[in-house]
Amino acid sequence: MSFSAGGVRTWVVQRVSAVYIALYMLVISGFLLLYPIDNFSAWRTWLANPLVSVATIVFWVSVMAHLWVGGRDVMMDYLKNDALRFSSLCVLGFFILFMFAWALKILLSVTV
Amino acid sequence: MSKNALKERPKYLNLMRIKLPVTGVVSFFHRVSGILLILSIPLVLFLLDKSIQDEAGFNGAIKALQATSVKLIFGAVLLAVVHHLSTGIRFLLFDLDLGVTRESARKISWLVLGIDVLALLLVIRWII
Repeated sequence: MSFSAGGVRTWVVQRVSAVYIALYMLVISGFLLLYPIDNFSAWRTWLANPLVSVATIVFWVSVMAHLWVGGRDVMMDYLKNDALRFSSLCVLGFFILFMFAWALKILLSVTV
Repeated sequence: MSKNALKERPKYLNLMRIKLPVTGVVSFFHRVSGILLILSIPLVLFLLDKSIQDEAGFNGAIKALQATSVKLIFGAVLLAVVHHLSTGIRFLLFDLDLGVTRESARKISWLVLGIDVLALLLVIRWII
């Protein structure tokens, strides 16, 4: 069984991204609960920290990879009409590209 | 199965008449919560974008999160996160061959539902 054989690769992508998303949300929400941020400049300073911004960019990459596999699975299971399934997958793909570009633009625009 | 029962089998699948076991219910809602989470992304990014623009944007985002209508939406998103995460951990346990017997699979599913109820109570407390 080769790694590139469809199912195995998506299976690995889904698991690895899931674990990263879970750990990121746990660490970030734990940190923000311990050290709450209540003003604009502290918020920007925190987001501009390379550790936070890089970890957050990797978070959005993981989210997009995860929802491509998950969304694709759901669409392939329930949309039996070829044209509808194909166009839905296109919409999902462009949704992912636009949302990721937006997230990246936001995170890169935060500089101290 | 008797011959009579075979005759009475439905010829089509009526979703309303299928009674899913608890394991099927939590699994189905893994998908439902996943779809809800996908749809919430533009909302999350919109607020994040506003919050980093300027002082007014930051305060506006905080204020928006205090409105009941927005709280209802984000309450649903939080519930989706909790359910998607706990059922997701359930899938990871399956990969490790844990919780795959009928008995343990049901136990885990009831545990997931218990966590959901707890999260629902916390979300209701947050909204009110």
